Amino acid sequence: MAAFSDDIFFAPLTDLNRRLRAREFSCVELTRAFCDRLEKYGPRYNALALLLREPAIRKAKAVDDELKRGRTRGALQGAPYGAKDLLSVAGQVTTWGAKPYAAQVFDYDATVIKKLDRAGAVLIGKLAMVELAGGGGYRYPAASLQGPGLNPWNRGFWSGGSSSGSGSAVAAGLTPFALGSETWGSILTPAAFCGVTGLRPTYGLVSRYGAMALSWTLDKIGPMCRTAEDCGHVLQAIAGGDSNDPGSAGKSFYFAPQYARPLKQLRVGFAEVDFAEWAAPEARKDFAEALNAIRSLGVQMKAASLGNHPYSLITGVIISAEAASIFEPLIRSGKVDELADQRQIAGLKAALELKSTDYLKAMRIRRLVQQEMAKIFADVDLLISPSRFGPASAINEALDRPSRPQPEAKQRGLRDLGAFGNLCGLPALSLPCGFANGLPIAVSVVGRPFAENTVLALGIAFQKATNWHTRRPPV
Amino acid sequence: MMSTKVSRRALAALLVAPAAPAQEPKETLEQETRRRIEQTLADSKKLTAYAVPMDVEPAFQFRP
Repeated sequence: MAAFSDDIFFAPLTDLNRRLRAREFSCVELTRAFCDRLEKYGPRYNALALLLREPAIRKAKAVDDELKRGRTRGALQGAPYGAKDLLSVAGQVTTWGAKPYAAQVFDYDATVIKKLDRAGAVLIGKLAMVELAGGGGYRYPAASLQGPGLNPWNRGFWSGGSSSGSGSAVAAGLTPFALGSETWGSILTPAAFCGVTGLRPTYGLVSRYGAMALSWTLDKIGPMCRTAEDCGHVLQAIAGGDSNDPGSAGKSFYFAPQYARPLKQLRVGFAEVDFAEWAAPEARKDFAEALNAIRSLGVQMKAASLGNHPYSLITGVIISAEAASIFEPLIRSGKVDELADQRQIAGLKAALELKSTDYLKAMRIRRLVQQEMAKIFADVDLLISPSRFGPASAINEALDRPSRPQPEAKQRGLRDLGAFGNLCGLPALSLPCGFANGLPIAVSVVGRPFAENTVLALGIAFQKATNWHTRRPPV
Repeated sequence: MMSTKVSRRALAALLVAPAAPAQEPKETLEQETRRRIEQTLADSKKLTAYAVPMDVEPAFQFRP
């Protein structure tokens, strides 16, 4: 049995795949090693919901047989991974992170699970998440069946959510990659807080069939990996049209960053105020260096800012209205009271009071936001901003009532890029770019719809020029 | 389709955190729910006040 060092547990996917094909170790050995590691360390971060050792070993044996016969399937073949526990896996519990659904079992695989299986990836576990992906709003990180997601860099701090287990599992080298989901921040936040690379794809690029719905208008599934390049490989495997998903764009994705426009032709919009004033003081130095690193890539930097639409208000209304409809049986039956977080319970109940005219107004303002987006992207190719303005919060801190005063600035800059990007269904890549008080921080690169290759090209170049993404927490 | 059968073994494998010590809430659930409903009504007023040209249609995402 091969002995695995940290170099394997923190290796990028292409490296793992090369070593598997060179028979340095078998897929079964690799899978066992990651299962052992996930089983041992996953609970340390409340990252693991369900270990899938036996089906994983069966799959790993099948992969070894294929490799022996010379049947290759690409960069993900043989790679263990974890899936956020809102993705159904046939015959296994899928809890949505929530007590009312703790015994829920589906008899089919989510489309993304099937696609990764065809790519030869090995699902080793379901990863913890904030209950119901936090749709009602939640106050504490403990809003989860598995308890608060703990940050591998410092367990006194939050891993971020709602893809909390996905972020911490990749950060701690428990899985080479993981699937997360984002409605409003749930891939980029744990990626930023845990120091991993997370990709939120364009809305509709990846099928949501078999995933818990929180907001039909905003839900997206995406990869969380050690590198931007790995995100590209995973996205290629999971993207594609699906008639089972009404939101499917019917488009495929071929990872080809080498065919994206040369970096020196790219116009990158940013707002100085985001990095200098909105950012937490302890993060400004590393954010400034990250901005310089991006400048050094030869891109054309341009000032950019958003308008004055009520981005956060309408994003909140859209999510609340759709979540209230999706979870209406849960709320009206009273089982919503079984959730862990009081703010979440109150939020879901209150959401039933939203008027249809408010939802429609929000969706009409969304049309105006989309028009604004088209104008912005006539002038720039990408937007960059801090993924989050500071590092992770302490584990007992109320998320809606920060204990420290938050920075204020007169100009909005791109402060609302999170709401804006999700409203418009834009792709975004969170890139580790430094540390603040010993905790990771990150920048986000946001592109036009379906411009993932351009977004990834910048991310790959940034990661060639920096090494933040190679740092490892003490596990 | 959702199955309601789940084996005891499957449930036993699921990791569930022990109940967290109760956070002392500043308000009860009923109070917070009422406050959130009031917030919803306040947001409604903000939306009503936000002018949108009559010919702007909702940006529904779903494709036929």
